[in-house]
Amino acid sequence: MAAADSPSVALRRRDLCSRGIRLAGKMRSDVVDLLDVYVERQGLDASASVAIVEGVPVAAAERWDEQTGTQRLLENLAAYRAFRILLAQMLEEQREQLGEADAALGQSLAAVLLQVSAFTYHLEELLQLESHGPSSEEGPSPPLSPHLSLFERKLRGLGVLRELAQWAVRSARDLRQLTKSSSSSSSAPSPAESP
Amino acid sequence: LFLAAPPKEPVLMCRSNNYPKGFYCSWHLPTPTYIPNIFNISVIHGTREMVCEKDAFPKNRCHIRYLQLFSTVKYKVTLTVTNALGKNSTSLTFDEFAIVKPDPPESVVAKPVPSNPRRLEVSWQNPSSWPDPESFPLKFFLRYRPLILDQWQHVELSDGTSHTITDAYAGKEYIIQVAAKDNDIGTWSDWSVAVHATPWTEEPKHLTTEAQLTETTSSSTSSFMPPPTTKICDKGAVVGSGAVAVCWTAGLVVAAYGVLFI
Repeated sequence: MAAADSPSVALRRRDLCSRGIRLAGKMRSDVVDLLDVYVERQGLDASASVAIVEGVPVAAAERWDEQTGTQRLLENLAAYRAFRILLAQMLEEQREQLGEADAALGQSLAAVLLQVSAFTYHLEELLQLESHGPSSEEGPSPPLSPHLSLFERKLRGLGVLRELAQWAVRSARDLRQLTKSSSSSSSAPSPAESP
Repeated sequence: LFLAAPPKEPVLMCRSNNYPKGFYCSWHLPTPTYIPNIFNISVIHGTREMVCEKDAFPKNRCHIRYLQLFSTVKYKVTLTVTNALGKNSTSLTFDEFAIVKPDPPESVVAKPVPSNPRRLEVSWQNPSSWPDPESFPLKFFLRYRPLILDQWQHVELSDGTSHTITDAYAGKEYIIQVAAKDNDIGTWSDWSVAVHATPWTEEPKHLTTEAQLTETTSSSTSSFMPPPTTKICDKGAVVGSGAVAVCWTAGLVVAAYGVLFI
């Protein structure tokens, strides 16, 4: 940002960041619990390695500390929009596969999906504040998995939840970085307005 | 006379006390070989081999800088030890988050609170090895007990580096320790160095005249008459593991005031 924000913008950003951090923390905790249930219900080995699957946003970042605020928000937003679609797919697959036999898993998946949606909204609001305009359109959807076997879909689901758990940690850190840089920029004097 | 031996399986440990900068691994042999040993360590992250830079001191340690953060790919560390009589090795596989363990909090201070016989004010600092507590905040666990009891009280604190204990037993010396953990990941640090403190107590009331002294001596079996120069040392802050010093310039104190201690 070239100029310091108005106090109301800074306050709004701080408020969104702190609520976002809390939401990310809750989301992570619920995803970790969901992972335990998912592994058990799907008959998987918790320590199984899952190869990176196309369309699943990878939380791993190089030079993470060098990212700008806008970069952080854009990457987070792209990730959670993808997770929203992936979790909806998982929910549908789980209902087809297990039906009413495992309502608890379905409910947990639905609860996490709701949190992901709420977090996506937070990120969109923050990005509007950062870029002073509406957030960009959603990117391409992650590919559907019609040709994967049942086992492959289970493993993919495991990969989705693991990456989501990592993203939730990363997002909390990203929002703290945003808060930190917002605190330092809000103390800078505003330039005089041009005529 | 010692018999040289081939190395047994080494003991390897890896830990990140300075997340997100990097982590270190350290090792030792469970039993001595009595001949020189060479240690080689390799660190693999996915398909990438990373360099573990050996520390000058201690010699059995090396450190790795994180090239990526938030990765789900595990790290595999393999240590091989070789000497003239043989070879042995061990491996560790772990997630980035699992080995995060800060150093204990530093500069723990516990002070009584004036006019509050059941309070103790405790403060501490983030471990100096933790590089960025603003972006990677720590949470804390405080434990305290009176010296005369074995049971600890625990308080978990997600914000700030101070806490006021409000349920201390009046007049009892306390031992207090603090531990730290990253707010989101990893495990708790070891406990900090213990500090001792005693809550504030009211100064005992003095008998001021000799006449009063003469009257009371004959009727009571035990009474304490401190000389006018009696002083109680200021029960100030104590840092470190020493006990709080309470100093009296008078002699014996006979508990005849009916002040009840639990």
